[in-house]
Amino acid sequence: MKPHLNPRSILQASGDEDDGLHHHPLHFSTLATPVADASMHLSRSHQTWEARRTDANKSDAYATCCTVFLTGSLNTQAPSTMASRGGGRGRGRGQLTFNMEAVGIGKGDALPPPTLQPSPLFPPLEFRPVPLPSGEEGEYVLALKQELRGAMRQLPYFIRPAVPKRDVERYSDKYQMSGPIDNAIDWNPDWRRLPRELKIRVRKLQKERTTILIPKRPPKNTEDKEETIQKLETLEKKEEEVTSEEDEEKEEEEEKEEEEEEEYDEEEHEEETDYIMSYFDNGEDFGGDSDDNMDEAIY
Amino acid sequence: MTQAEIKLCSLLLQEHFGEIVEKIGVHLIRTGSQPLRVIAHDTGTSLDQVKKALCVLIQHNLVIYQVHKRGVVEYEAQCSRVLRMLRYPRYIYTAKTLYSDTGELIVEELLLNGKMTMSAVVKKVADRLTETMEDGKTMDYAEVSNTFVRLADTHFVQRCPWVPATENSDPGPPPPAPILVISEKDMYLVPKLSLIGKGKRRRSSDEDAAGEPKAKRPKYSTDNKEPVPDDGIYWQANLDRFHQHFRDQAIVSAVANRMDQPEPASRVNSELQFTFQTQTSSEVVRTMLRMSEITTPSTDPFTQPLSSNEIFRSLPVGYNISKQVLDQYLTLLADDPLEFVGKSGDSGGGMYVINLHKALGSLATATLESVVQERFGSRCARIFRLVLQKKHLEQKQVEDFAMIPAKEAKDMLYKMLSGNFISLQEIPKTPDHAPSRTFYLYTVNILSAARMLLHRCYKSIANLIERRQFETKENKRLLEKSQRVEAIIASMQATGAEEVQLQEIEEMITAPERQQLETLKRNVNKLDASEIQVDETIFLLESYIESTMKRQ
Repeated sequence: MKPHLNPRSILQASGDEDDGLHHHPLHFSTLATPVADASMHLSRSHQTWEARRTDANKSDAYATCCTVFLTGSLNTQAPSTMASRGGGRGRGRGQLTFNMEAVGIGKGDALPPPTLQPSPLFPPLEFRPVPLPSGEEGEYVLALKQELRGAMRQLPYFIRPAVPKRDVERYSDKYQMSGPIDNAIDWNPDWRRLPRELKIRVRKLQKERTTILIPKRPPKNTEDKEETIQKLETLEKKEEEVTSEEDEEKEEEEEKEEEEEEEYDEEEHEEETDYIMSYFDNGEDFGGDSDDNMDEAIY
Repeated sequence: MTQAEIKLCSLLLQEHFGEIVEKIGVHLIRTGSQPLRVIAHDTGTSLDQVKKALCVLIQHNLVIYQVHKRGVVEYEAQCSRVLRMLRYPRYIYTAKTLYSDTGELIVEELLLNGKMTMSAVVKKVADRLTETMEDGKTMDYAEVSNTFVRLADTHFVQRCPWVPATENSDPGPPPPAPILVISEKDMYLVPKLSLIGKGKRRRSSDEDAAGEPKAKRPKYSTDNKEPVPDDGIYWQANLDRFHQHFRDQAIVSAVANRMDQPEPASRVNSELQFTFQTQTSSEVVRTMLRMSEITTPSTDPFTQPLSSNEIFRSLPVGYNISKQVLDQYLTLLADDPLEFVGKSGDSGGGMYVINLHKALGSLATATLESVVQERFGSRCARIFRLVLQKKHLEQKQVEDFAMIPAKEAKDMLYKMLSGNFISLQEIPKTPDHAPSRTFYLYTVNILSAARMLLHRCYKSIANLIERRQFETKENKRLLEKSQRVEAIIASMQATGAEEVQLQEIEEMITAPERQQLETLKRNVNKLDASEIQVDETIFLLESYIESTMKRQ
């Protein structure tokens, strides 16, 4: 919001500063520029205009401009405040550049008090607003709008930011999967219509492979015999879904990015736990667990 | 894009898609066309998040991509399309009035999902309709397909640009992004599908769908893997056609307000239903507009000339006015100072056109007048209308013509001047523009006033949305509590609880809290209704500005 020294704000009640559409009455850029017209006759007015021009070079219009525009009555001989916006080239002090009577402010008229601060945030309403449309159509559209808003939040297109890691690492964090795996999208767009670079490979599969293919991984804390059997069996499964070489390149790329991913750390912890993720049963759905590749007896 | 528009886009994206998409979307709107890595770098989000967000935005037609040289793909956001999200309820309601519930759900699915194949839409809509029907009845796919075909025929839905089928095998690597093409004639071509089936209900594990044994259920999921016959043909809602419809509606109601008698209270308010004889002039205009729906592109300033005989033949069935009466009405419409209808020739009993540009201009002017009236009072409105009519007036003349005392007239003029509804025009008498020898005339520049008002509308809606979010956030705790209580009551009712217990649970929400909830609900409804109202104004102003810019 420009400070109150702005000549515009003096007569303005509202405080919109972004409009470039002003045709403000006291906006003198059209009058300020001297028209070097060859057809301009040397007349008395021209001479006086020349005289004024030299005056103006001395004055700094903006410094004096409109600190107080007009207090009480108007006196055209008073220190001019409404110098031109063009930097005061045009007119000297003490003179207004236009005839005030032409816009209807007669001599000696009381003008509204100057504005010394930005307009209030909630200006008082003079007239009550018109009532909103009611009736069947209005209510239906209203209900529809609210329903749409709620529905869109549930769709997979609503991307929620990843839950920030809590200050203390909780034990249950390892077992609660929050959000889609590894930034994959919940829905399946038609990849033929999208640029190739937008495709995110689901890294969970990759992860299983990276643990096998690249032995640089830090060794697991507990090398349970059952865990290795488990790993071999999942490896069998994954080998059926071998993808092209591109994936390997992607893996290496992704490995570099992996440090940045918070979720990666959680997943790695998942890998290192003693218990197989799918076997973990926190008691909510009894008997609904998958039972694949389990050598242990189910009690 | 002005700041106000960007702010509004940001609020809309955040409300509908979440913060990540909002950040990416606003960045693209601000900076124009950018490649993927630059977006990730500038916004500081991870590459994966950016990819996700871009997928969502492209799916909803809010962002388009282009392949530049050296294989760089650049993404560009479409700000005006984001602003259309405000109007989704209105589109859906229009579809409901024209094609009843089936059409409504089809358009809703298309709008919520951006683009879909026809088979997917049909299946989903059938399922949804079956949910609402009584037990034992299901919705047939064929019926939904029919409605879909009708929507396509009247251009309310259109095909998205598709990947051209390449006959030769590409020797080099496939391009980084497919180039999508679209041809005018194929845009509304519905693929020949024979969709057979019925809608399915979502059932809990206790009840079964009608006659389906449990063993068949896993089969249903494998159906998705079969190749769909219309794979790759995606449909989207054609927003321009809806806009054309709104425009027609506005013109017809303007004519009705001006020329027709007030309607009897029992009249049903619906677009295509038969109207009483008192609504003749609006009915004539509506017929003319309907006849020009497909023939005239929506951006033309005039419709195609229609002869009086054609109009007579196309009047709704059962509307029995004689030819002479129709001719009289047409002459009346053509002579009206509003100039909605113009006469362009005499062949065929008189050739008439609808002057679309003028009509939009009148509507925009009427909007401006009503804004001035509600904001500044009826005397200001009188001055405004006076200046509109006379085009240029001096200070003194305004006072004389409006018959308002000088002081008040001056005050009102300055109020409107500072609100940018009225502007000053200088007419110098001498070449040196001496101020004492210059005329200062008040005038209304409709285009610039319309732009100013439009800008203000964007700001208002942004304010309304912010206030609504603030109100909801303030009472978040209370809202959550009431939702929990409702959930508890619902579950208890399902398991069959006594009245006393239900009473107890309901009393968990105290009376003052209930009142607070009521107030909140009322306020949120009011704010939502205001948004819808402002959006209607935005539509009128945008149409007018667009029509004017096309003519220049």
